[in-house]
Amino acid sequence: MANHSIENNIRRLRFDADEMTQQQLADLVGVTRQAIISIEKGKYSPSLELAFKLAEAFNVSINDVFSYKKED
Amino acid sequence: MSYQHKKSIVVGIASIITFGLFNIYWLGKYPDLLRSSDTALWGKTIVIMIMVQVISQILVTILFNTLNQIIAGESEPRVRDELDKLISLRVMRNSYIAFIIIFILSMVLMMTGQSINTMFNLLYFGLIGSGIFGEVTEFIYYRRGY
Repeated sequence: MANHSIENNIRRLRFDADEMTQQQLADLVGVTRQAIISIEKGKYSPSLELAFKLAEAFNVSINDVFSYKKED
Repeated sequence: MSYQHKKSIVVGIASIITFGLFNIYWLGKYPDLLRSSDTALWGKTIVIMIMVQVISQILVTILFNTLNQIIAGESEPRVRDELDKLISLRVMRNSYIAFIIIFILSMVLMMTGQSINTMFNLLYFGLIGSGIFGEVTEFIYYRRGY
């Protein structure tokens, strides 16, 4: 079975959203800044609920925030 | 360094200091404890040690939050999010596994004919050791991001 990884565009989306800080995003979605850091670095895959909240925070679809890529 | 990093370091160090101070007092009171096979004394030692550690952790956490607020202007995070809960569960699992290994080791030593005080010594030091192991893994998880 091929390996997959979950990637995200949160850092770019924050920058596009008037350079939103990690803390501001964390406050918007109800998590700690540490959680946002971990997600951005790809160290932690958020729950489905949190993934949807992140998409809602940027007013985009969840596919614009996260992508599921096959690893070579 | 984030709040969680600092807290895990402080609580870990406080556990070691508390254990050390407790041993200084308790072994001063019962100098032959580590060579003793008195099960009632060992039971009393372990129960009181656990109570002292719990009280110490509560006081240290309060003190840490107060000092962290004053010195760094950083308060305890308002939310305990899913990442915090997952790390907490992992840390608990790690501590339990560490203690179970120590417990099994003590049983193996008993099986090989070691005296009962060897088992108590292992359990006594293993309790604090597994707790500190948990604190160390908590620091590593937060450092790594998960």
